[in-house]
Amino acid sequence: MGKAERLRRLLASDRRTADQANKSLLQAEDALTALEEREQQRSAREQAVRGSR
Amino acid sequence: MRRTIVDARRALEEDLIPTVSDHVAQQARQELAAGEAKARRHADSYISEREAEIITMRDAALRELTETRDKLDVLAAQGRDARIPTAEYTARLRELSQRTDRAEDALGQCEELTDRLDEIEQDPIAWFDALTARIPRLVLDWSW
Repeated sequence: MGKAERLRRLLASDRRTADQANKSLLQAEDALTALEEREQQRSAREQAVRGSR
Repeated sequence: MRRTIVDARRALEEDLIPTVSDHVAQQARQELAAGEAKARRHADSYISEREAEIITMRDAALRELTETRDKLDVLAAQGRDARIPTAEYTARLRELSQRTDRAEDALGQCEELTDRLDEIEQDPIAWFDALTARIPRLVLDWSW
């Protein structure tokens, strides 16, 4: 096997790590959406409390 | 005469061999083989140097991808538990996303460089001839 082929196999296995990183990125983006929704709900609750006073 | 290996091979087969004795033809073939061996050594040396550079770049990209993946997992957990302000979360997410992109780009570069090495391995003589077109002092001198 040539050096290029060895490198190619090595890089192909690295793609799995890249896929994992992308999966983690998507999960982190999902978590941001949830975080933003919670923050909006909290803000809405706080406004409602202020409005009731 | 100074010329590329492809030219030298063509001139040997088409011009020289039909007009000279077997002994002279044999000597010329040996000279051609020596020239081709020299070209292959150049190509091998170039490939080894580029291979080392690719591995260094690949190692760095892989370390970066592993680190960003782990940090993204920690960040996502903090986000799910609401243990981090949204603004801070957004900033860290953006930074990690950019780092992931850069590391993936580096891996892509490694793949492109590997394709180039593959081409050289497939035809080191063509690579050497193309090199001599850019660096004329490397052009080989032949006895025909």
